[in-house]
Amino acid sequence: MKQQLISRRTVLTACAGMTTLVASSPVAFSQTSQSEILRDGKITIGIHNQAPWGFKTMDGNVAGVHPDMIKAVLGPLGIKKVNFVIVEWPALIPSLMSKRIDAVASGMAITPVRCDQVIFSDPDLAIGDGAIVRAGNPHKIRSFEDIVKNERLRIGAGRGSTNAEHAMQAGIPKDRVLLFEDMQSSIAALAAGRIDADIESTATVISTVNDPNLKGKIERAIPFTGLIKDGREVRNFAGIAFRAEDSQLRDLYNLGLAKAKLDGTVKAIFARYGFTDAEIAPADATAKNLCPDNYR
Amino acid sequence: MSFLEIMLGIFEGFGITAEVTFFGLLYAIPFALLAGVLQHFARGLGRWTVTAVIEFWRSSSVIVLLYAFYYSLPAFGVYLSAITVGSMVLGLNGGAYASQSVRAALQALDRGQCEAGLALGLSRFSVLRLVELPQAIRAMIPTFINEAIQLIKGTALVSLITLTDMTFRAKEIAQLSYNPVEIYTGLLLSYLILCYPVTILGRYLSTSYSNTGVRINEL
Repeated sequence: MKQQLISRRTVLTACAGMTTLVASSPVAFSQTSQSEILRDGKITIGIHNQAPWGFKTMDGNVAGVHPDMIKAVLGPLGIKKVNFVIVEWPALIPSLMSKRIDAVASGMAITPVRCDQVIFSDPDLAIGDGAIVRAGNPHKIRSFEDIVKNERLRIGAGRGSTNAEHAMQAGIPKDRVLLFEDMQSSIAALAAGRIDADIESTATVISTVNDPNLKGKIERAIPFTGLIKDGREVRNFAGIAFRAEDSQLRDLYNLGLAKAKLDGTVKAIFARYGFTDAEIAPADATAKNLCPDNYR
Repeated sequence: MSFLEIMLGIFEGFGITAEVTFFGLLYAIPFALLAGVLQHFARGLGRWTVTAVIEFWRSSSVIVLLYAFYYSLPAFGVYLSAITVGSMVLGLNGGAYASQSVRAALQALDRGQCEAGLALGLSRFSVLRLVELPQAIRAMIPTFINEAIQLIKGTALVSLITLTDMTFRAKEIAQLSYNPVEIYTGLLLSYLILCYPVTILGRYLSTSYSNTGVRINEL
């Protein structure tokens, strides 16, 4: 009996059909760019759902120091409608570059590596690294050095965070650093004894240890010495990240930020989230200084 | 936060989970049937092409495909929504698996069935439509239900491309209440509540249809 009773042409046509089935799904081409954001007064912001940077509250609203900054700085420019998307921390920059969001407003520190991909506003906050430990600090962790010395200690940090980078630069071997996607995973790992300390920016540390749900389980390691470079403790300078081609929007944001710094708006926002004057980025810290080689 | 509140919070993501599953099945079922039938009949270049398509979807990691379609395609100007990416990737991946059970079911059929159909003067396509597929589909029901359950559970991955499904809601609640034990137990239960009825449906379908099958064969 002849086996090939359904012809090759039928098979190939059907294959083409399958391809069309895949390709015909609703395709939309994103046009969002600075001119449209300014024209429509609408911007989509990515946050990583972490207090105090950018987070969803119990009642479903979005709060946080950088979402508030965006509203306070871009509002007067006519950008009144701010949409928020919660994105995993490691996916924030990919989302920005693939135009899923228009800016990252979630306490992202300005680093030369990130400057290769995206552009940053001038920083508003300068925050050191801190550690969360189990209640009573059983391993007496007071610095990165303490962790380096004790080979039994393992630490957790956010995947792709500057805090994790600093811990490794301080000499903690990679195999003792566990990287987590979000804060609740890090805290769960800490409580379960998988890690002995969680390294985060001090702002995250403070807001997390003050969470009423975690009372008595964890505490902030005080004092804590982070990475020392040139005799000074390294800090993370946080700013808003924009797409590389949206430099005009970034420049507008910087102008607005300078104005908001002068009239006290910025200070009021910082006070709302418990930041002190010591944590305000100094005037000489600009995105240009932090990324001297690849500032765009 | 009580356990009930956690469960209700998680079920706020039910809509997205259901939507991704539904559209996923819309991709999976036609793809499985078409690809399985074509792979069974095609020879030479045609078969090579079908196999290549199936293997692309079957042999790549779902999570990598999700990231690639969601974050990389926009660089080439193709901008698919998160729902489209989620249901397409999960659906075609599941469909590619199911296509193998379609092919297996067709291959397992007795040759005499086809020959008898041809001897009656039916066209090859009519034999496929009236004789082979009805029997093959009946044999495939248990595997298809398996794939459907797999698809429901697989939707947990779409939480990684910003869709607010049940897993995403659970993570959001976890970020507020830091209570991993209750939240992940709740999430576990939620998927069980969702998948178990599908299992029961599958059992019902396979018993009722296999009975008809026996009767037809006995005639």
